[in-house]
Amino acid sequence: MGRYSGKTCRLIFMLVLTAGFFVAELVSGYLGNSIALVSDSFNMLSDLISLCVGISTGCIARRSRRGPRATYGYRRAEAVGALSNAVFLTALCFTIFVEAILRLARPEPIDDAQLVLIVGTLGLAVNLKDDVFSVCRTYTQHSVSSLNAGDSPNDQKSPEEGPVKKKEKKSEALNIRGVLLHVMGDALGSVVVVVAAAIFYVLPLGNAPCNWQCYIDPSLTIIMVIIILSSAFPLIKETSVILLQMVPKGVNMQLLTDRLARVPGVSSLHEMHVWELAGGKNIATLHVKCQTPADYQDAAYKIRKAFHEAGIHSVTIQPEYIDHKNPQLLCSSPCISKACDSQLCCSQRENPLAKTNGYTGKNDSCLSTQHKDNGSSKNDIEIPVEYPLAEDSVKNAKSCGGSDKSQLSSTRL
Amino acid sequence: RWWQNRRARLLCMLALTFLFFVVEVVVSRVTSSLAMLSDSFHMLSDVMALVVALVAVRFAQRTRATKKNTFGWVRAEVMGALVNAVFLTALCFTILLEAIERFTEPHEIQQPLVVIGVGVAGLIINLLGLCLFNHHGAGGHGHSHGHSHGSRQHSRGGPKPQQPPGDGEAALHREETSTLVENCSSSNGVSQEKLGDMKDDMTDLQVNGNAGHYPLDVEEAEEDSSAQLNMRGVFLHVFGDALGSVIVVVNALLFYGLWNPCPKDGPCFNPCVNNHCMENATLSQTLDRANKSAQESITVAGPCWLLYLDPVLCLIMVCILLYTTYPLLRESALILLQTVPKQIDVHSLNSKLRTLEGVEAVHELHIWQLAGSRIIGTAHIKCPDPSTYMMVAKRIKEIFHDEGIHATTIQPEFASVDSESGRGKCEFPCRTQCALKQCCGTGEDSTAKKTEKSSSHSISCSEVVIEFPKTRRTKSESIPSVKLEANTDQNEQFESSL
Repeated sequence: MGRYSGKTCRLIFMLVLTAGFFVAELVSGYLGNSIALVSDSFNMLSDLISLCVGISTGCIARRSRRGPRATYGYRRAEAVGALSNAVFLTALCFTIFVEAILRLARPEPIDDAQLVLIVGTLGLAVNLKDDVFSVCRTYTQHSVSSLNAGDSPNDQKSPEEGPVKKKEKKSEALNIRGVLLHVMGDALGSVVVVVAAAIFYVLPLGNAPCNWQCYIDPSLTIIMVIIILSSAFPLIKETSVILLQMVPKGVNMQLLTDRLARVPGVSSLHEMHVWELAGGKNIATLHVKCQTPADYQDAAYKIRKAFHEAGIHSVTIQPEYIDHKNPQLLCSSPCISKACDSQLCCSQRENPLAKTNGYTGKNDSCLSTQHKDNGSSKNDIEIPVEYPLAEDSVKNAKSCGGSDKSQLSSTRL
Repeated sequence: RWWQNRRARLLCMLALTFLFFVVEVVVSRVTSSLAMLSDSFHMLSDVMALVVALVAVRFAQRTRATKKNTFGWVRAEVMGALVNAVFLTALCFTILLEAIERFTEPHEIQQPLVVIGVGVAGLIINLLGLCLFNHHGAGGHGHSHGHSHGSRQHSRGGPKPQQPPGDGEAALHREETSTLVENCSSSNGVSQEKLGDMKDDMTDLQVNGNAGHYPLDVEEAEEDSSAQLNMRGVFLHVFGDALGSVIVVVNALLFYGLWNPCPKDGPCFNPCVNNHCMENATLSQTLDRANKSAQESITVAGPCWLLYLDPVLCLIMVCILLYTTYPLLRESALILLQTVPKQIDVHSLNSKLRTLEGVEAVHELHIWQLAGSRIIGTAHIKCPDPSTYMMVAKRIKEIFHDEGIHATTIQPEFASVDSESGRGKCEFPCRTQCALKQCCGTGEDSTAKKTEKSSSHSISCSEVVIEFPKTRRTKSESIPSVKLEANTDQNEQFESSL
């Protein structure tokens, strides 16, 4: 892949540079007795780790899409790596915080101000160089993508393009703002180091006992720790949304279930699960109760359309046909015996309205919304439903092709 | 019994550890020993690990689906375990740094007696913690079953006065509730008050009915297996702390016994500290010679190797901790990565499904573990017609059940397919442009797709390429790190995985 070879070279270069600087800053921090330099080195360590995580998840994700060990590939590695990095950084910040407090209680001067000053300035340069790269790249990408968006073929103008383009522009803007914030965060650490060391360089203490100068280092370090943590926590929150299988941010479950309930042919829904695999790929599964297979065929396309508009593109729908043996709303086909109930992802026997976790809403574990009031008409699944196949495949073609004009020939696109 | 309950144990240990932390801080102020103060913060990190585990346990007890999380929060414990494992790794890293620092600048221990006292107290507390949490280790299952009924029901949410009337009635009540639930959707306009006042009785009865039905032993075992990871994380933290206390005590004991300190008065020379200068060594030799000649005695501070004992022991401790933490890290990460659980072989499952009569093809087979023993599977099964599917459906579920996968969603597809590969094309994909947003690309048959796709290039689902190195710590998957390119080269779609 041509796209990656130049990039990997640069990535490795950045990796080596960051690693080298981390070690240099750490050693100088300990030699020169400056806590701010040590915390900046931890900052760099976290950058280093995230670089490594990025490279390795890129390698992993590229190498094996789906294997016998991971049916979804390893796309989530990025989220797990980001969470680990954020937690690692938080733990390191905690120890730095503790040391800074100890320093405030028992102040110590910076021993080798010159060394610290030099290394701090170099570190600042290294941090900013990385960010200058990324800022330049974001600006060029912004212009390139707007150019490309303008060039897109006009025959596929669908109403979704408008909002999507706006989203692109917004995310570009967010991207730039995020990068700038990141630049400031990085630079701030080094700036603090340089300031503290400069003060000691300009006003050397010699052998005098500590005066106000000794308090600058730890106090600025504490401020820096707070800033670092405030950038780590949002990352933790975001990755936990993915890792805890929560409903992704852009999806409104209430709205979605209402739309799905209104699809004609759908008697009820349950076991609806929506989650995000990683990076915008949303997955949903659903059990739908219909009266007849014909109902289901009609409804299937509309259900998928509703999901598609909600931003969920991988949907697995299990149709169930209503029979008088099972109550209307419970799953007709959970696992084969009742004993497995505790191992289902959501228990079949629990009342959807039970308020055991304090959540009072209609939409609980087996999500049930009723479209028609079907107390009476329950079809037995044993009754064979006449149902020509040819019509079926045409219907399928239409349902998959959707409004795309060019996809009438095959069902799989 | 109260001590069987996970939360109770965590809270108890939390209280003990926090108290000890306070005690250590006070003692360090009294004796003005910096080392003890910094040691006390290790206890604080223990407190934080316990808090993380406690939060995870609180969350994971909500197994019901909510608007924010359709699976309930059972995964919280796995995440708690991962967070604790990473936290422990970070602590090991800082201990390593401290040990290296001590190698270059060895410190003496001031007031070894106080250190011994506090160290022993800390060790006792940690051993207590180990006992508390080891109960959840390999051999802990047997006891917790019988006793846990009470705690399980309590944790379910408050005492329930009514007893389940019996099987048949409970089922009847359940159906009535279901009917009520049917009518409560707003599109039917049924009044909510009628629902409201009947709801409460029904829910109580309903939950009671369940409480009678549940094989609680099975549930407790299932809880144990998913909670085990979380408790292991806490156990490792306490274990690390115990090791730390052991090192402190051993070090202080040896120091107290063998160290020859510099007396406050009188000339003293300490060859161990400040060893960057070689001239000290020569100075010591000349001093010695001068000593012997002048028949004075200058005390030389005790054996230097004692000062290096501390960092060496710390290094050993770090190695032990990392070695024991790595399996926990690996296990929780594998669950979070949506991998197939170790005991399931996807290939054999796939072939079992395909060899079923009536099944023409199987694709999009996904198996993953939610937490503990809750394994979820989805598959698309291609059948020639609906009636064949009806016959085969039960068998399919049985096959999944035999593998231990109890929550499945099977999507039947009914178009005729050319059955060469046994893996057909999906009949119900999303629109073509969404290929990159689907969980898995077009996988099989990609060559056919490419030619068809070249004519349509719409941007309704934009093709996104996520770039890594630009935004580092603050990157997020969804917003800032996405670099959008309108990709005219269709070949790249299926290969780019970011």
